Amino acid sequence: MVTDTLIYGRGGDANALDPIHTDIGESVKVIVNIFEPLVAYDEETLDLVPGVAESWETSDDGLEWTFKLRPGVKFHDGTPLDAEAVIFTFERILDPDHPHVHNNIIPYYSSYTQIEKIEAVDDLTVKFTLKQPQATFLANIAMFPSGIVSPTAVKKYGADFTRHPVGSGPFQFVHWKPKQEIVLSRFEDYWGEPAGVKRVVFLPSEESAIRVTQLKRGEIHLADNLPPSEVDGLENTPGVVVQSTPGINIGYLTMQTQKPPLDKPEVRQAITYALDRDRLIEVAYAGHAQKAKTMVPPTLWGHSDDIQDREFDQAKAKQLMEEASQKYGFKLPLKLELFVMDQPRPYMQQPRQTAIFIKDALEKVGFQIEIITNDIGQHFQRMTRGEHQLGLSGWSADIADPHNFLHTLLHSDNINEIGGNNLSQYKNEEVDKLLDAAQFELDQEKRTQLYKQAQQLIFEDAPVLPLVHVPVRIAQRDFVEGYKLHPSSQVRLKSARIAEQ
Amino acid sequence: MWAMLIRRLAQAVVTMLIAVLAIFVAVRVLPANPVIAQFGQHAVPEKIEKEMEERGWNKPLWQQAIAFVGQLAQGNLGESFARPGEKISTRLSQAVPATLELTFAAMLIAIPVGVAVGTIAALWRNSWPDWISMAIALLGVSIPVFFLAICLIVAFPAMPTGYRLPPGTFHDLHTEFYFFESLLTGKLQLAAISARHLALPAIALSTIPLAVVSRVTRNSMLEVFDADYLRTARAKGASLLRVIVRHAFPNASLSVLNIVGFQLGMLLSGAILTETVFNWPGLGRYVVDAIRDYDYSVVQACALVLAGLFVTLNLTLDVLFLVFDPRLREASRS
Amino acid sequence: MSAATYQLKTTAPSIRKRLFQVPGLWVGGGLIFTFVFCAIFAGVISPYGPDERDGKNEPPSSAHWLGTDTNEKDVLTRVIYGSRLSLIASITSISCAVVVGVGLGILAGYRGGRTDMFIMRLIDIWLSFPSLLIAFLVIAAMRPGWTAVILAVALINVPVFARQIRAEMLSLKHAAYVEAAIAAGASPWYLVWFVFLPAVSGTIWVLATLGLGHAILEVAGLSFLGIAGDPSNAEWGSMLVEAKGELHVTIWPALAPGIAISLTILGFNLFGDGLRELLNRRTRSF
Repeated sequence: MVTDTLIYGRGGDANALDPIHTDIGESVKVIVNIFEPLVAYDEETLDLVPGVAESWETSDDGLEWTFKLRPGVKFHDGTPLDAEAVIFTFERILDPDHPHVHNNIIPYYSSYTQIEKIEAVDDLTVKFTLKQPQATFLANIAMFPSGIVSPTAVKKYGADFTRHPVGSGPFQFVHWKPKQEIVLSRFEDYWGEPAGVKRVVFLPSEESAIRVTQLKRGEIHLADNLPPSEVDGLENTPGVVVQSTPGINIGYLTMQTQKPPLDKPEVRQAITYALDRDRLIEVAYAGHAQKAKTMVPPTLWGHSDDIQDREFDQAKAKQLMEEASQKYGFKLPLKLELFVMDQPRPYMQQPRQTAIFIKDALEKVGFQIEIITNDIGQHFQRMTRGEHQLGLSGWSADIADPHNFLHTLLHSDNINEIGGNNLSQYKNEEVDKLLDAAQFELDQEKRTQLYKQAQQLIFEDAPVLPLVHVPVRIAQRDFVEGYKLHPSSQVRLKSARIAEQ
Repeated sequence: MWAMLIRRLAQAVVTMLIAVLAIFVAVRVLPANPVIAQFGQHAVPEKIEKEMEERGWNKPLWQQAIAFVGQLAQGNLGESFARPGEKISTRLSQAVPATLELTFAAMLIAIPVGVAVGTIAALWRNSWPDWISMAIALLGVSIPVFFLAICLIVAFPAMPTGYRLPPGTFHDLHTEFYFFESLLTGKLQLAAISARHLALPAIALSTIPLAVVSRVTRNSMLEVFDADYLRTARAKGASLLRVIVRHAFPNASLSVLNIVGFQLGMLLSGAILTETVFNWPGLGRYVVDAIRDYDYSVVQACALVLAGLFVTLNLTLDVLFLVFDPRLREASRS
Repeated sequence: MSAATYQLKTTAPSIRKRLFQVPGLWVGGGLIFTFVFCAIFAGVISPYGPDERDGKNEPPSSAHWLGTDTNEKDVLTRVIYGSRLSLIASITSISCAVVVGVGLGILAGYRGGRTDMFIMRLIDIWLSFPSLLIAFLVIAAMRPGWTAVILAVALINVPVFARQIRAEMLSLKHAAYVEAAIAAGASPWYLVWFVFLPAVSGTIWVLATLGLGHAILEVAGLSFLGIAGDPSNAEWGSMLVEAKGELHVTIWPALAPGIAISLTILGFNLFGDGLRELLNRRTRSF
């Protein structure tokens, strides 16, 4: 079988293909193949390498960054990628009221608020001026939301740009049938080496069993986010190869701290004692996960190993609940809603099983849990609005910086309805101060200390219960070559090829 | 006959109008205002007002109703709430053919097989073929289609269990009726592929109508066999085949047509459940996802389309009836 | 002694005699009895607790007769407990449907004229939509959950009762003993409670039995679609959803609840048909 179409099977569909309007992994997988930011990641590490920008320099005070664009780069619609296009892209990112922003979900807004202004020095040179030096600036520029968009296409499609994305990446968009398929084709005028396959089909199916069968039959060529026990089985299947990488991610339980009863620290602590995470890792991850005690993964610098974790202690959890019920005058069992997404994530391949495990554990210590399942887009949207009490969530690194975990998930700036990811609505001024200081500090040693302090404070308040760090594993047919898993769990298919058999 | 047709048509139009209004009201008396739900608990009032104004939801109800009907008359079903900017009609133009193809395929299985089973049962009345076929009919109405679908998946592990075509198939069809179009335009290879994908879902969906059709066929055949004039005919030496073809079939076909009408609602409901099991990208999955996501504009549009489909199909059957049933034709003439 | 009870008395012996000539009644009754027994005594007869964990996706063994599911729970136990939610939901919804449907039917049949026309037009339109659509609208309006499911299933079943009871009322109204009661100046309440209801009670039982079968199917279907609330409940539809994803590992968690639903529905169908045969009432079962 010789084919030039690569079929990527996954657990769900994209919700938007406009880079600024989403933070859902299934959308990002497609976006990173269509759009390119100024700065790119190395193929296998989180090191930053030249992308659309050939080179860059920064002023001594760290406030001015000048990027030299690669000449002759074209968007898929033929528009040249020049300084004007870069400025247009960032104007859209920085201004929520920009005429070409058609949606009020802009999850990465706060990552770019330190940009004071952007100007064109000449056709192929752009200069960014920052409000204050920011350690994560360059990495932020390399994130997918700042993928450069074709101004012509944005103006042409308007609100529909999210269904007709036009960028400068190795693949161009062909069509999107929601919940059925997204098809991309090789962009022949790509500035670098053209992609290894002519077409890519992204195929969603929420049921893992279906993806396993399809992979075994060779109907799909890659399958991600499979339940770990399935991947173990596939490792011994002829014709199937399993790739794995440590992964920089966290799966956690968010607790809405602004709504009773989870505004009481005792109740949140009881929850952390009630869950046997080692058992959870056996039940829902077949042992393929590492117990988490803080939000920063141990694979990333800044991870604090000093925290004395609350170990599983059912009696203690029960006791805390009884005390809390007397102190605050609520009756046991305490009713809570637990929000769950309907499709697998890299940090949580079996969300339903995970939720049921948590429910069973909590019901043993004085809670009554109702599980509420939503489509992934709705799940996170409802949680950013704070509609949940408990919710399953997680994060995979966009950039190799603890800022990406702690600031994004726990800084009070990220409590908002435009997609802010502080789902627990955690507000602690001290933590905010530490995170801000770390963001604007350029010395990594000092930053590490600041992040460790913040992690200790967060641990004490317990606005979230870190559950697991999960290795990223993907099962693929053996004739797919050249595709390497990226630690960020981004899926860049440029180098993937289908070998002749 | 024409008077009857016109009356049926008028009835259908009235039913549809009432459906439109009922759905319109149902969506607007919801406990949670979907616009507010969209913006969340700390929403900025101005933004909500702006959104309400854009959607026209701040006008008096009757003005909205008129605007709504006007919009519908232009074929505009609006945009999805949960996926801003997505045109509902685009999604429906893919989902409706998928559901219809599945439903038609199920009927194509159910009617001939059901009639055959019923005929056999009638011919061997009160002996084992009759008992077996009637037992199957009873089981057919008792096993939920979604469970039967799961059993089929287990029983036929080599058959495709998801999607309408193999992933990554590229084709040059103009409609979303993959099977019927490729069959009619002579693209037999594609037709065979889509038939393979259609097979299990269609078989699962066909069981209930099959059971019902066989039971109805049996009863109406027996009615004919017992009629005095046929006993006379048989006594005079008319062959059994002739009796079946000339008398029993026409009688049975009318009863079958009649019962198919009654079964349409159940068939559409069954299609929705079958789609969930087989990942079939039809109307059912679209509306169920929308309910879970509180996507009211999609629920509204799907409800309208479902009601419309149902009314149209029923009307078609009524017309067929008038054309084929001499008794009704006579009745309407006099 | 009223005329109606007198009539029942006279037919009683023949019913007793025919009771043994309708096997469906016995088979169906047996199935229903098993089902109700499981629902009531789930806590006593099931080998484990509904949420007890003991090994993932295990095949059937002496410890777990039907194996365990993906959440490490005993399949047999959950199937037994599953009868509870099904029974509660379907009985509640059919009871609501009986009250509203029979009420509407008697009202339409007794008052006749405009009331009758209005109610019957309403019922016609009601019936002109696929039942699942009505359920969808109710659930969408009330947000997914068990209350919404029960209400939806009740609404779906109302027209069946209303139509049939009205039809019986039309002939009943002209029965000699009813006309006599009316002429004697019986109050409407007396007529409804002591004349009409006893006369149509047989039909109500037949329809309710068949309706319960439908209700169980509809409840399981809605929860299979994932719009009936918490998916972790020991409920047949939810169990099927869970098991659907594990078919290539183990089939027992799917087969067991599926067979349980089928047998229960079969039970109600057989019993309903048998009851109808016994009472010799002409009603349509499907």
